[in-house]
Amino acid sequence: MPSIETTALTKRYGSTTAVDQLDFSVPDGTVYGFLGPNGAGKTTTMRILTGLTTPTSGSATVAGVPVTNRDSLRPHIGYLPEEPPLYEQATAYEQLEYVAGLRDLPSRETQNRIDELLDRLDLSPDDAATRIAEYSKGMRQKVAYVQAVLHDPDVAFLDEPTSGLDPRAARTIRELIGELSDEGTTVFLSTHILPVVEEVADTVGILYDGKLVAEDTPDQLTQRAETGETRTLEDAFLELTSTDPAQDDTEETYG
Amino acid sequence: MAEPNWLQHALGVGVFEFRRSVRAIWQDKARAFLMAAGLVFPSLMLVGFIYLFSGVIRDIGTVSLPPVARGTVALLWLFGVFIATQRVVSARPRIDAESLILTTVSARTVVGGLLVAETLRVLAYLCLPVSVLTGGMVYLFSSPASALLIPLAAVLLGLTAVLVGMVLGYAVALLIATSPFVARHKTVLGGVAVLAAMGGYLFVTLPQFGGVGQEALAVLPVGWFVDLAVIGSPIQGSMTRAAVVGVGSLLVVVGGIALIEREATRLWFTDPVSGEEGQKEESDPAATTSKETRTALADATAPVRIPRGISQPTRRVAQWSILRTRRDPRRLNFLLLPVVIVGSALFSSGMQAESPLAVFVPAAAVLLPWMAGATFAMNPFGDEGSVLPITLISISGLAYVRGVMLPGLLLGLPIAVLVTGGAALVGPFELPAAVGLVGVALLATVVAVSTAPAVGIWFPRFSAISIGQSREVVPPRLVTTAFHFLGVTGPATLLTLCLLNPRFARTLVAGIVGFLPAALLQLVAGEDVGVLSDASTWFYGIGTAVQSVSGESFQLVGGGLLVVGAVVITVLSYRLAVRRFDRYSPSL
Ligand SMILES: Nc1ncnc2c1ncn2[C@@H]1O[C@H](COP(=O)(O)OP(=O)(O)OP(=O)(O)O)[C@@H](O)[C@H]1O
Ligand SMILES: [Mg+2]
Repeated sequence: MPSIETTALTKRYGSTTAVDQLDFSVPDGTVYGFLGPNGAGKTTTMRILTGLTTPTSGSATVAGVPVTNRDSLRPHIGYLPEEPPLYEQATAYEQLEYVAGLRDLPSRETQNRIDELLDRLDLSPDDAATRIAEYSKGMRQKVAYVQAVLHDPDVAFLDEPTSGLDPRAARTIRELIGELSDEGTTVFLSTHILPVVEEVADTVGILYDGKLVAEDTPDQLTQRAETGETRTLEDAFLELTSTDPAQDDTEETYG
Repeated sequence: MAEPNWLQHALGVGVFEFRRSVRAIWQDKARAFLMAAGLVFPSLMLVGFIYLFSGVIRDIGTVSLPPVARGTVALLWLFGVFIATQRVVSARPRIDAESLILTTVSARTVVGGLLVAETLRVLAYLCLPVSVLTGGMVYLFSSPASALLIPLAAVLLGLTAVLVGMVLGYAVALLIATSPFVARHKTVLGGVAVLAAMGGYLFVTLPQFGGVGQEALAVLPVGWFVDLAVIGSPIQGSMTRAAVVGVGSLLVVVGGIALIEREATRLWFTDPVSGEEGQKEESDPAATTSKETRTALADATAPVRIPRGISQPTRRVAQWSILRTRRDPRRLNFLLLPVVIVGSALFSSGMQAESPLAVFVPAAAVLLPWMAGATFAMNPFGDEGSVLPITLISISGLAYVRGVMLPGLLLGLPIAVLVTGGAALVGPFELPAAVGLVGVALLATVVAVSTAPAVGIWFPRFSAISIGQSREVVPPRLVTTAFHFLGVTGPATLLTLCLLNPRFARTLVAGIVGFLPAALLQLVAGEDVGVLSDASTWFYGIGTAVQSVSGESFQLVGGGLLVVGAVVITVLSYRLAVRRFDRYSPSL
């Protein structure tokens, strides 16, 4: 059974169409890489799929639940938004315990899980006991990531999870995403860092101007690229999302 | 539908939110101190009162509860509703960490949590006076029931007021989010609503001018909490009324939560309409096609025009502060409290004076300048928010400070001068006095406009919420506002008095610098002869000396000193602000 399924999903803001007739489905336990230029509609799609925004038309189900049914949807999902949703006046421990409590997680196991995740992300216990107001961008991102996957959701929505992270932490996140999907969690991932997608995604969808312009495995997509001496996902991305594909400059070389 | 144990989660959310707000207050030490003082002082007075009059009160015996007590409680409740409504609309129609919370718990849990947090805040304010009152009642009448019922009545009063305030507040927020008309005219509509509330308050509290008097409110069940509170004491309330508020409160809680849940769910999951958008569609085509150079900022601040001679950076800062104020008038809420307090006092004294204008014109000469200063530049650094570092490295302090002062001068000065002058000419003032009042308005505006950025920049207040999810509204510190208000209106009032009634001004000054300290010192010194009583004699001497100056000389010297002082303060503030800007290092 697909974990995420959308049918003609559309979202309009006034005269802009942020998401335009999206049809896709993500099988259970896989990692879906969601790519697209700035303003393509990735965040909007995630906000619809997490129930935070209602679609203008069309429908979607996540873990078998229609996204408009927020109360049934909530227990199945975890969401890491673009901006880490943290409370400045709390410490990381306080914030995570608070959220765990709201989700009714068993406290002892949760504590172990928090400690383990923070440790793997190199956030020291000292830091975790400091007010978030004093955190750097990457530290915030780490806490927000832990928060999103703490309850072992069926579907995790990660909007640019590696943004602001150092190379080591970014690698850890990639590993963690792999482990998540091994344990059966479906991961819906948006990022601008193509190597991340190449490494972890089973399927890649490329969104352009609110429309899905391509969907395939990373390898297949790379094959499609016509430019570049050695074809990369980046070439494919640039071709698929250029304003006028016919006019694309084939002479141009990179590096 | 909510999760099964939503009640427990709601309590958790409420306690967490309450702790967060306590921490936020704690970080602003001066504010915390002011709040604590505001709590402790009245409670001490209450303790003193109970102690002093305990004998008399005990002897009264059984009395029946006067309607005015119910009316006063009803007024208190209504005031609580007003504050709660205003808080929802202005500060927190949407929640912090929204994407996290709304994907974690149900809207009902959040609503319950916000309700708990807000009630805890109210109770934190009420707890000291209520405990004193409870203790006093138990001690005076040895009525154990009071120990339970007074706190219960206080909790129910706070809870229901907050609840009804939230119902109204979310309804208003929903209107703003869904109706383009309301969104576009929210400033005007908000002003009308505040004026209406003020009018209602005056109508109730000023029976001598056609008002109804507080007793009239006794018919409202919301005043009957006092009937519940006095059960068991010699004060005889009505059992029926007590039962009504007891049961009624429960119904309000259940119904209110259900209502707020529906309102809030719609609000949080709806994309708000923007008042600006509609306007843009009407005016944009002409604006974008006909002009070669883009003038987005200037268009956005129209019809206010910055004079041509002003340098580009200063002009941009000025335009930006006008735009900011206009787009987000919620930031001006801090002006509301002084305006309401002073406004209602003025109104009542104006109506009692022979000619209302005799009160209003001097008041305009003093208050309009203050508003001109406070409106645009009370917290310039906080308003910059995350942009502050960029601002600091892109522009000189001179240009910046001039820029934030400019709107107050361009908009505030003409209004203050024209209103004061026009009203003075219509009112009972001779031409020289009218000219003098206009002079006061002019001078006071210059002082207010130059001191506001100075105190604002020296004591900025930043958003406690991380960049990106900031609510954008960062009111200035309470202390800064109070300091600026007193610093501007105090001397301006004195100058006005020097102008209109120098003898009164002289007596006032003699009292403040001479007789009052003398009397206080004498009180402390008591019978002892020593340093204190010497000091007291010395102060008394000063008072007598001031009092012996003739009215004309006082007018000349006092007025002259104030004018010179104003000029010095203006120059100093301006330079201090510039210097602070040039040397400021932002913390993040
Ligand atoms: N609340 C909103 N009101 C109006 N328009 C919006 C709103 N949110 C998003 N949009 C518009 O929807 C489109 C898609 O935005 P979205 O944030 O989904 O893009 P994105 O793919 O996440 O971009 P990025 O890579 O920059 O994060 C944009 O054109 C944006 O302007
Ligand atoms: Mg995005």
